[in-house]
Amino acid sequence: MINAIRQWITDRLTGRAAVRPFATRHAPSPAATGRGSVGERDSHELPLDELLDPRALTRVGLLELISRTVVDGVMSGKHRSTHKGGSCEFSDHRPYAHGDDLRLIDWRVYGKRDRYYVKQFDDETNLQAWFVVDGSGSMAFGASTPSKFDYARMACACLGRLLLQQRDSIGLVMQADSQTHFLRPQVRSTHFGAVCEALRRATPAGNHIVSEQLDRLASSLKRRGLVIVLSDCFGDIDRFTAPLRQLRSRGNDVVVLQILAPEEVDFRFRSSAIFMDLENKGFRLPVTPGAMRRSYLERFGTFMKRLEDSLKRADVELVTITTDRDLGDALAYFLHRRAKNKRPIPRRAVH
Amino acid sequence: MQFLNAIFLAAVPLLSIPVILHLLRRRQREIIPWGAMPFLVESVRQHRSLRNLRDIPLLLVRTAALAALVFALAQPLVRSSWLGTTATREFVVILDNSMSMARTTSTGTLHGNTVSGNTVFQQQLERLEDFLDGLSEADSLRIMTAAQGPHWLTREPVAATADGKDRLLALCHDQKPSEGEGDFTACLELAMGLDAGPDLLQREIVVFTDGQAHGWHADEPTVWKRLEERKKNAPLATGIQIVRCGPTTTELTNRAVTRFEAPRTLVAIDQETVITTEVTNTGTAPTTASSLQCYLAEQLTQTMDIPALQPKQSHTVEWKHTFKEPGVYRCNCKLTAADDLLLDDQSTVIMEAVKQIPVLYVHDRLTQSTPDEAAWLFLASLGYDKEGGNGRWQSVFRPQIISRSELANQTFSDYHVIVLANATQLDNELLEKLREFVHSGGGLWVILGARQNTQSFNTAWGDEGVGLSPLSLDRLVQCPEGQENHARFRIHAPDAEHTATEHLADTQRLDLDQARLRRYYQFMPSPDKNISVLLATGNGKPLVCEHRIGEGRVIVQAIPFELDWSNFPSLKSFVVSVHDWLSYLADPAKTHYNLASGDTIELPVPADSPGTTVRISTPDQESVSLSHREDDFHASYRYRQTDLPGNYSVQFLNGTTSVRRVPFHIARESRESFLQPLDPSQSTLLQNQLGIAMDSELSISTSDISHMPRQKPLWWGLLGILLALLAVELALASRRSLAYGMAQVPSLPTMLGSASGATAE
Repeated sequence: MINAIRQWITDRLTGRAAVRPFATRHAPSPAATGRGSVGERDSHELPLDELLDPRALTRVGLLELISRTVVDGVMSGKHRSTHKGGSCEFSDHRPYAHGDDLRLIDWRVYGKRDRYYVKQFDDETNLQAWFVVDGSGSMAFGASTPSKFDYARMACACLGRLLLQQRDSIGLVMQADSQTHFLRPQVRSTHFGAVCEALRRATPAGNHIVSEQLDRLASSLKRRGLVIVLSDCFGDIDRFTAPLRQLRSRGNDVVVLQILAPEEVDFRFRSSAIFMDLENKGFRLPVTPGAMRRSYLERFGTFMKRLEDSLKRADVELVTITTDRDLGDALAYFLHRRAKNKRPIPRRAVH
Repeated sequence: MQFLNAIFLAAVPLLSIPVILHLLRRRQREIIPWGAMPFLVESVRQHRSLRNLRDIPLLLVRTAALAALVFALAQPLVRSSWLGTTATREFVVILDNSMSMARTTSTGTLHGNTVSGNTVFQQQLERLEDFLDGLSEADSLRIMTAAQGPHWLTREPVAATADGKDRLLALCHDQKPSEGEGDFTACLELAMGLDAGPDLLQREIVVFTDGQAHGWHADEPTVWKRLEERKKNAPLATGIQIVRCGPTTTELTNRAVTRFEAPRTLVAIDQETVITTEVTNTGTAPTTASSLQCYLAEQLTQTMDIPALQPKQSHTVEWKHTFKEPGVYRCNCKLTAADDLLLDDQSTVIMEAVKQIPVLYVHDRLTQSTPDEAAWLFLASLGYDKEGGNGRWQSVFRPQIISRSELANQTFSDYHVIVLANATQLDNELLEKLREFVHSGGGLWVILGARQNTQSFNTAWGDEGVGLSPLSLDRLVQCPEGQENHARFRIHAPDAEHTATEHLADTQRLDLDQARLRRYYQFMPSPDKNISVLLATGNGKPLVCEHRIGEGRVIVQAIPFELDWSNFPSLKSFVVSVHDWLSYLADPAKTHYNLASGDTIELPVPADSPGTTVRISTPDQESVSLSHREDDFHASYRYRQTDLPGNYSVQFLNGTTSVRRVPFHIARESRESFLQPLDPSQSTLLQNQLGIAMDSELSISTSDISHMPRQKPLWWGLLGILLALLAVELALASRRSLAYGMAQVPSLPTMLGSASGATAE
């Protein structure tokens, strides 16, 4: 009775209703996803049909993932190539040189300048996209929603399929538990099957950090391409940002899809509980959430602010998604936003 | 510490519930696998000490709330002073309105008579006024009077405010000295047994009196032992003070009418009645000669001289009067000379004059015209002059003589007494009728005769029959030659305390010792020791025994009034016994106008007074309405509040007009006239045994009340604490919830998800 009165007073004062922990909110029900309801998801081997969420695929099927930077490709595709080619999209003029195709001479400019200029057109090539999936233990958390790792690998699969449909090549870098997956980008559909299989069988565990995978990727990357990092980004921000900055400096388009569980964002726990660290097995922390919430949220907010600033300085796009969000909606939003904010190619001044 | 409901202390283990729940919740906390541990670790590190500080007060408050609830139910008793209760006192004032308080000390008036001074009662009221002036408004008072036992003037306590004091003084000034004697021990016993009020800490009993010894029963140690116990077990600390009023000198001039009585108050008209008056000098100084005025129905009838009397000397005079008309008369006498105590200078007796009291005499002869010797002797004892005819009766009893065969035709209720002389062989129907007659208040005198069959008597009259005879007959005893003076054949002097034999017991004036028995029936010995025997032989064998059935009486006499059985009928004692026993048997049926204190006034409802209202006026001038009550045989008006001696009067009113007035009188105790102050040894006894302060100067003591502290239950205080603790608990818990709810979720610019509040597209 007293608790009920107290709850009522609190709700009136705060103007909101406290959320019971682990309450499902706009998210696939645990029953629908075939998982348990609290904490770490114990079944990490995901069936293929769930990995490729049909609803999400339907939602993003008509969209396309376009690199916001020029990429090095060997095949024609949707992305602007570092090579000038014969596409229909005008790029620049250059003085005629011996050996140039006379068909490319812009006769209008000749009429104005009395010099031969050759029209240059942007070449369009295919994209080499790398998915870096965080397989650390913290990604296994999912209380009222699918785990962050499940959400990340489903997003990875959907985006990978989308890119393959665009005839882009996809690669995968992932360390889950003690296994490291480094699949170089390929366009073949069989390769997509390998990627999916790796995602499907992966189990998030351990306290390794995604930065190590990014370092490895940065050192091995020879072509400019698209790097999509799917992680909760928990850990040392500077350590996390450094390889991203390096990748970005080499001309790669780098996107960080930060996957968070809603409980991590609002920390709406009430009852005293023991929080078990997913990355360091055996470490348990008795917590009275009511007393900790303000402090936690302050620290979490500070972290997110620092992360955002750091990535902004590194010219890395950050998209934060909570796992209670419908995957299809989230990817559609991401793709739309990316299509709108397509970065223009700097034009050379024509004199 | 004491508790009012200690059984609720069994719930004390419930106090561990919050602790147990706290520990259980700690043990049964849910385990949550968590990813964002770095933020949590830092927060917990910062708040670990604070968390304990927040939990423990809440735990303590909850435990204290439970403790407050348990103790509030158990109601611990604590000293009232701890609760800040005002130390209120209650005073129980006992006013002495006994007759001795009418004693005069200087010039003044009393009861309309000019007397030579103020009364002690008036002095007492002045002391009372002084006493009331010394009280504070926090005190309360009850007042009772002491004459003939405690009588409340204010049964409920009255606050000693100005209005309260005025009201109490007005009540006290309405009181007058009565003819009763004080009974202070009963008053103290009642006052000490009063319930303790909720805020009372002390009770002080203040007795205003002239200090006469007989009101204190100082010679009865059991009474004082009982009072001592009562004081020891009094519900709260009780002090007793005696404030003595009146003159300190023992000089007293007082004549008192110490006896004013007639041998019988039910008399026949036209017969001379003698009322004996005894005047005694109860003072310490000789008195001068005075006169005694006798009044009949407020009319001065006779004046008699009283000579000068020395202290303790008495003088007896006789007032002879012949009533001419039937009726109830108030006869009173009054001494004309004034003295220090006027109330005992007069006395009253109520006389009832009747034409006759009907008596039915049944003999064993076949016809009325031939009564036997016993009947003639019986008639002669009542003054019937055989030679002079039926017109010269010397008694109020007027017998009708019939034979046994005529008994069945008589209406028994027409007679007050039925005498069966040798007429015991009656059928069962008549025996039942006789039993009903006795049960309704009639008197039956059974005189065994010469032809009595003991076996048939026992069967018909004994316990196996109607039970009218208290004893069974054994055998006929005959006196052998030469043994006439043996104790077995003489009559033992009867009990002087018994109403029926008080005159017969006077062997100085009567000749019962000369009685010799020649024959008599001997009763069987009875295991019942309470059989009342009026006359017995010299060796203790019952001769005449009595039995009470219902409201009436039965006398069974084992010897007939015949000279060949004994010489008793030839003695003077025979005449006295006939009159006394007839009076004794007729007594239940008559109205008693002269009563003792505490007796019930009972007046049969007259047949000729329907529709009238009946009121009784008392000596203290109160008028009380009476309603009649009916039992199996009678309808009568009754009044029981007759503690106060004096004149009572029952009035039959037709509207406001008095159509009939019946006087009653409650006799006073003559002891009150003999003034005898408490002597020093008696005062010491009172002080030592009861701790009574015998001060002539009144002091309102604020005696140490801490030696017997008044305790009060603390339940309401604990309930208040409980409510306060619940409020604190609510505040603490709400504060925690508030802090929980007020925490801001960080807003993230590119958040996709409902947790951030961002909306996609």
